[in-house]
Amino acid sequence: MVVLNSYPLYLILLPLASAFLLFMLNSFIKKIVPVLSFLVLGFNFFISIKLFAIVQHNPVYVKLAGFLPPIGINLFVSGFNGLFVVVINLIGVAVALYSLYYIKEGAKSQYYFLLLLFFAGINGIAVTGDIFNFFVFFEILSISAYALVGIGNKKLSIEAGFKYLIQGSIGSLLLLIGIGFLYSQVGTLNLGDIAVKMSTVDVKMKLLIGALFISGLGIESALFPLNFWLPDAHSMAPSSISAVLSGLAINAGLYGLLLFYFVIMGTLLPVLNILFVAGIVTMLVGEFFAYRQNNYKRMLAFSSTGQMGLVVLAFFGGTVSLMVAGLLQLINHMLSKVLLFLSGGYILKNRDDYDLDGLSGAFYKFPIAAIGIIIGALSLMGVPLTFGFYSKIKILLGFSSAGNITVISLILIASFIEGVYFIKVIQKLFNKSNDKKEFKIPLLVNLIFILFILLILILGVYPHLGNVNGYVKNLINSSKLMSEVLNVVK
Amino acid sequence: MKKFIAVLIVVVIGFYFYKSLNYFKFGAEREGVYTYYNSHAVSDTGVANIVTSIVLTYRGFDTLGEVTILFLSAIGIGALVYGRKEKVLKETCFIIDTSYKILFPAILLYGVYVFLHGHLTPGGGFQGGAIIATGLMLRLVTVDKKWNEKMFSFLEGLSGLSFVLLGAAGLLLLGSFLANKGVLGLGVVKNLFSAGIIPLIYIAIGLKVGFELTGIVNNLKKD
Amino acid sequence: MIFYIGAFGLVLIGFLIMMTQKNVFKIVIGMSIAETGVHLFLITVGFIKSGLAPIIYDLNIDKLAEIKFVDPVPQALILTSIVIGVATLGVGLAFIINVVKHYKTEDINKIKELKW
Repeated sequence: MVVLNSYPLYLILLPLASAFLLFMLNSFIKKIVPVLSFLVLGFNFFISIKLFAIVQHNPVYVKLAGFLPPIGINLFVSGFNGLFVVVINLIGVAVALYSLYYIKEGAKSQYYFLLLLFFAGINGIAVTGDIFNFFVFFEILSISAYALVGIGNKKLSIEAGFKYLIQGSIGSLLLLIGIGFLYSQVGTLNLGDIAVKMSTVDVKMKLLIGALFISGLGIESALFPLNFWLPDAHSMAPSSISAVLSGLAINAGLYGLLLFYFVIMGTLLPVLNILFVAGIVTMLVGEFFAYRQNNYKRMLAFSSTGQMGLVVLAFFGGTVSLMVAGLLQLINHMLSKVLLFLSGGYILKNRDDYDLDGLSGAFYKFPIAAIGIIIGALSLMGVPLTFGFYSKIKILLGFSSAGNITVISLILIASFIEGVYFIKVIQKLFNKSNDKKEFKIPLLVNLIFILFILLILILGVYPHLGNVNGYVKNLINSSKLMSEVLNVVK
Repeated sequence: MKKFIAVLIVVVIGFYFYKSLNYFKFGAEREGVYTYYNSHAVSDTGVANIVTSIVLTYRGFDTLGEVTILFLSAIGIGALVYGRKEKVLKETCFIIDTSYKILFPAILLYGVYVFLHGHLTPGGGFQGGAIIATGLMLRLVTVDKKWNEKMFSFLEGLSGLSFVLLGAAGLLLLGSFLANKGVLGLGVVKNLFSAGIIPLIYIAIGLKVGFELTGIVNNLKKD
Repeated sequence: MIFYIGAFGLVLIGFLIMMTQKNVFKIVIGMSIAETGVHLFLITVGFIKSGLAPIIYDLNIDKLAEIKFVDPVPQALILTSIVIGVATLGVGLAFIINVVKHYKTEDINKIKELKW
């Protein structure tokens, strides 16, 4: 029973309108831009919590321009997107607050505009119900990501940003060709309507459209042969941007893959196998290369690819409980990776090379940030009492009940390699060194770390994010739910 | 070696595209949403150019995203060339200086005509904005004055904000963002003053695009 | 049929340029050519035989449902997409300015300081 409510619209419009407004005022008062951006993202977080409370009972839709879908565009939020929207805006508030202290020089105002527009774009991806609208918001996300990677204007950031731009725009081209093919076969652009009309399309055409969408979205979500841009881009960006890219941008690509698979394709077995295999390979390659790194942020970037492979593996594993586990692992990765990048980034703030040696003795100099790194690492490894333990155990149990011993052993090998390099990092934190503390971490930044630490630990002991089974069933039935919107009485 | 692999990949992709041509029947009548647009555009929005009604009313949210993307690229370029100084032209060409004085008003007039009549003839905000930008860019290469960034940033932000406010007026009065039918009245088709808020949105978009493209070229010109 | 082949041909030429050329400018231009090809393909999808352009010239508003127009939706889609292409091209050019300034060369094979 879908309900009409305007909250998803405000989530997109608020950062957008404030970016225009602040750009107008930027010529006169430069100083208020950071604080106002933080307030806007905070208000966004507040609206997302209210929206989440509503979608626990009924999905929400918004009709734009006064026309019902499929004539107009509509936004659609069910339990699944509602959870994402809350986590996205939580990360938004944290990064905005962190940036107030971390970004002190250079193109400050432009950084905040790009950040606001990035969040407008990713909120748009999470709530949209129309495929060309998805493409437009996906482009907003990508272009602001390209500009944010290159914003420091250092030699290596520019190279990383340029390679990211070239590979990302190939991905967008493939996605646009896929949308063109799809439109020529079904004649409509609304997701619910496409789901209804997809049965008239030929199987070979479905495979071709599937290949285009998977390659296009796979470049953004870093599946194996398509992720050569990721280590450079995530390691050479400023730390708050690395957190945003690793925590949010790759998940946008994954969300697109899920939408495409469950709403448009239905079940088509060859697609399932390709994504499953890609997930396994990505996980192994990512963890293996992460072990070989000496640069903290590059190591975390490879770890992001490895975790992404694990999540794709769980989502396309075949059973509902595996999908629930995949969703939990995804949320865990978003929280832990953001915590790792933010805390480590602040400790390594004044260094140019983010080398692991910069972390030595951090536990004695910056205790709260060091505990942040430790908890984030433990959660990604899957140590008990953290949220990562619960999600990883659910994945392993899901595969064991399907009897798939190969996959379980591969996941355990990857987790072992992960454990080795994270323990290397944790050991460095406790080295005694005689460097004097050059700066103190401000109180508000420490509060961000404490918030994330508490969130991971509390979820580890009491892992209930609402009706998670219900959310995954929402995703599986999205085609039915979205087509219900088409039948709403005018 | 690398070239050989690249050619191979392109040939394989080309082969699959060629085989898929069977599914595209060129010019065949299809079923789709567009039949509704073709028959109801005039009664719903009052425009004579159906593409305009789709761009600004039925799929107006995509246009908002597109305006945002252009704005985003202007900011991104400004961030990437931050801290560079403007190069001042030392000598300008006599031919361009003289013809600029004749051409500039004509180009501006044509550009304003295109976006003002977006709901009646082919054209619209983006096309008119590009034409205005051509005229302004001509000014950048000839006259030895600097481009007033502060004033034009203010005008760009103002136009973008007015697009959002016009949509929000629809939200407040009619309950849907960018709704057109009740906000200003539809008027008679094919008059200049018709089609509700659509000409106003196109004026905002046209000015915004013109100033933005010139700002982009000015930024790229910096040393 | 030849329209489809022409549009796909442009896309393939664009991809070929992006993969084989060494000069950074040519790579970005190849990206622009490939996008032009995709836009041409989208418009060709929308053609209906003996359909008119979707603009109302004479005031036969009552008989609107019987006139055959071509599909206006792809035209609106490519309006948006052309602007997206221009924006990406602009950011790409700004990157090229900085790359050439830092590395002092335009050859993509020499811009490889980041390794695995």
